[in-house]
Amino acid sequence: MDIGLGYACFVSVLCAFFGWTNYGFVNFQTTKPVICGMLVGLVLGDIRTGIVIGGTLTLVYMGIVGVGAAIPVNQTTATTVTTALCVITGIEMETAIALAVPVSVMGQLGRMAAWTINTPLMHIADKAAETADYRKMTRLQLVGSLVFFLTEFIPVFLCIYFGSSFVVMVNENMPAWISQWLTTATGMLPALGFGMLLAMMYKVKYIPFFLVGFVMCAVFGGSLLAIALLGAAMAIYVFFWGNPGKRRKGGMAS
Amino acid sequence: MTENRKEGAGSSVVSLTRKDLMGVFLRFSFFPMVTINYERFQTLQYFSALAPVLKKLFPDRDDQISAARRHMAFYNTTPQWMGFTIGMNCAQEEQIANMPHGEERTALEESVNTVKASLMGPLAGIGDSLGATVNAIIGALAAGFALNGSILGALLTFVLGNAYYFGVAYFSFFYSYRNGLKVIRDMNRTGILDRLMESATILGMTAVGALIPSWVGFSLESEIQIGDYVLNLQQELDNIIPGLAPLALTVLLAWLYRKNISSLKLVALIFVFSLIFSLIL
Repeated sequence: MDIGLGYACFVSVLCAFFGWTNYGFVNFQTTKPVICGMLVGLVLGDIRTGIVIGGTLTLVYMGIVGVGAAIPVNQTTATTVTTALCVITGIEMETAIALAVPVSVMGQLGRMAAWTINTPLMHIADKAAETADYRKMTRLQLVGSLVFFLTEFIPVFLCIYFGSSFVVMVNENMPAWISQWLTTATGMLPALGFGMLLAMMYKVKYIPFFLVGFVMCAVFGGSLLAIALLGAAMAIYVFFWGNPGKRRKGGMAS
Repeated sequence: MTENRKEGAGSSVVSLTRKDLMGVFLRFSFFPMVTINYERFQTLQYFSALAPVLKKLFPDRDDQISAARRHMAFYNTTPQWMGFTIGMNCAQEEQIANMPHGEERTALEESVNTVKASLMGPLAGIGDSLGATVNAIIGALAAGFALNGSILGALLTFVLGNAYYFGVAYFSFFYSYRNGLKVIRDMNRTGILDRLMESATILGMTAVGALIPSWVGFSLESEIQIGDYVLNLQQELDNIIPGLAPLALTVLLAWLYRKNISSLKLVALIFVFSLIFSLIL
């Protein structure tokens, strides 16, 4: 399947834009899978696919957060590219979602490259500081922004331009057991997002709340919003009446 | 030295207007990471957010140089929580500009970096973990709508996510500009951040508990024939408690993740798992 250079560029700019907003531009939550997936779907003419892929990947990447100096896998680019490839090639959504895994790592590598390329900017800024050249120092932001755009665009373009024909080729020749496999895998992937989140928040004292949430949903089949309200009720109670335990002296509470 | 550079002090007091402060707020909250890099992370962005204010406060070239120099020191924290130190720094720089040169002023200049360096770590600790919890709660609600094909998930994320990000940034910046170092004492005394974190985690845990049976989608459909008896695995499991298999998988992954096994390895594990699953069961 040949999608043409012009169209590939257009789709790549669209997909790279959202990942770019994470560092290179104002981020109005456009890096969240539900939002960027929907918008890419909207532009490419299949908003429903975009929404559902965005929703699924929200669950998969729920536990992925940048902590400290580490760059997490790129969930934004994974969502936009997966949505775009799914809409362009018309493959099954469950199969397309498996594409998110390699794409998110490629996007992460792009960001690591950008952080490295931006390092010399500090030395230019140091020199400019000695002459009080504030204009030059603040203008370096344009360079940083451009670097972030290019490092998002290049991996995305490779995925879209070469990926689309590859995806179609693989999809057409895929034995049934592989698609069965991928469907099972994408069904299991959200467990990783929840698992990482659970690992992060885990303390023995929080287990009761986790169990209440689980039982309310699994056994009584409550809607998520209703259970979230129940959780909010318990949270508000603890906030106003609870005893958060001994406070540390000195330094900030953390 | 003191005599010939007195313009800034005494009679004509330089102070920051609401417009100046708003500018700093918009710059740091909109562009917190444009020049982020492995050497000094957000340093240059922090400076860029302050630059126009510093230029206004220090008309003197030498003062501008020393201001730029002190803000070139390492800085990195959770973007929206940057407001706490940047707000305090604005108040400090304003104070510095209205002081005569001397020992006292040098000490205050040094304290600018002390505030940045001592608070960025704790702020990142709170900011990253509270951010993860808030993100999970919003994500949980949004994904629920999105998987049914509803546009509400995206709208919810847009409204709540931005309210959290810009709410924290706005509040922390203006609050700490007005109250200065007192903010740190207040936080310690009331333990408000501890309680906030605690409450958010409770809500987060409840939501995660509810998400597992709804959205971890796999079941043991196959039936095993033993003589006349047909063993339906899924039915047996459901008799114990529905959603047991997804729960077990999630807890297993959480346990492995706490054992410092990277998320990418766990993805690989899931693919191996699901292969066995789809072939055998």
